[in-house]
Amino acid sequence: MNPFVWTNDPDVAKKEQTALRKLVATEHPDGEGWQFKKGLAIGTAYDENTRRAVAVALEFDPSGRYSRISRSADVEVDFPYVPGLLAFRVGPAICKLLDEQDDDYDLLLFDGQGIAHPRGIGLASHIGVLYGKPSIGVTRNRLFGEALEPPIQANAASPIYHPSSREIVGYSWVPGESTPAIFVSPGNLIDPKEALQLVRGITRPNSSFPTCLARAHGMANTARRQMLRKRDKQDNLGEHDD
Amino acid sequence: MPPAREFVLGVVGGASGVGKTTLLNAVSWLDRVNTGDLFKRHMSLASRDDIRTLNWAAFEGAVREDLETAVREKAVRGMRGILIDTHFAAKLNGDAYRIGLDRAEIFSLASSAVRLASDYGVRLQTLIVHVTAEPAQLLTRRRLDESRKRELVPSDCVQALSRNEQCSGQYLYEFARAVRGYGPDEASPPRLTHIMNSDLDRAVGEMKSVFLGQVQ
Repeated sequence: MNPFVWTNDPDVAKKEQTALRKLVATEHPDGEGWQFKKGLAIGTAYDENTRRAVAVALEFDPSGRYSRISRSADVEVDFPYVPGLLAFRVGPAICKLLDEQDDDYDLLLFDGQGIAHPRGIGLASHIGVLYGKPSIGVTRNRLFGEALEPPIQANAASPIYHPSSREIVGYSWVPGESTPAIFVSPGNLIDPKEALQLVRGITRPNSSFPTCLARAHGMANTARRQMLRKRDKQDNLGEHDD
Repeated sequence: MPPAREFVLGVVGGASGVGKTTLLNAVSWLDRVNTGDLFKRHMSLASRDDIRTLNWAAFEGAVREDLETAVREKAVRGMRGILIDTHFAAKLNGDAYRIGLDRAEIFSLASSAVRLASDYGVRLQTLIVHVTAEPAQLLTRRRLDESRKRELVPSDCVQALSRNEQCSGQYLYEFARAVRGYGPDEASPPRLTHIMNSDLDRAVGEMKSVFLGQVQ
């Protein structure tokens, strides 16, 4: 399979996003009430020292139960940290992972934005478009859009609006008692309300974040630290070669 | 006076990977000439994919002459027509897309074809077919095609499709301009058909109906 080309120029990256935005769809071809069978929660991390991006995938089912088995990939990526361009930093690792994955999943879940993004195509939308899969972005920080804070009570939600079109681009949602709001936005092939319902369905009561995604993200960071320790160890061994 | 015999000049174009070759194979009763091969011959390159990164525009005039020769050969031999397999828009120096043949060259080719048809007592019918696909489909096809080195910058699929669609209209315009001033016994107005290759069987059926109606 031919790999996708990823630019390392932020200006070119923004143009790429603008072009791909036309391919983002906010409804599933099967219409409302569509159910997924197998999802992949994708956690990512980037290590500045080694300039490597890591991606970890955990399978999960509609109740949010996730597999103990994970898959991971890491690649060298030379792309600076620029808000709104996360896809170009971790996307290559995600693609390497998904290219080796059997095509039997029907939902992708990301720790990143979907359409609630300055150019309407955050990480979740970008990868969703590349692989033609339904996708959702869930984050702890709101990058784009206007929203009233939801009431501080479990399961309260308020829409996030696009500042110009006033279209709903996601939801600010309080998962549990005394938990801060998190932000859910559709990536591709799903509408905002369905994305919220789906994330609600896979999040354990009183959790602060969907567990499968938190776990995948944690595993990606663990892999990043291991990479760094390995590099430091190799550097130390090199010092003793004299 | 019996109607003039018809000579079909088919120009079939589209973005790389839309499935143009498969549809062309469905019109097997017409001989075919491929502009990529003509450019390659002039540029003396080993792989057609290398054309994308070099200045092929320098060879447009030569390729247009080759096309005119190919059309003349078919007309002289009393054949039913010819298909030109091309891209309506192509990348120049691996950068932005531009029209596949300069508009002046298209006009020159069209003028030559209609004059030739008139000289040989046949009526020229130009059928321009733009083959396209959904961007997501094109992306998938390009990823899975390991036989050629495809551009896999995803936005390139969107640009390739939209520029080929825009430029197909420019091909129609130049052919229409060339046949203006000729009577119905010499040239029929050129026609442009868009075929969305999302369902292969349906696309093949559409391709056949474009050309079958013309070639007896």
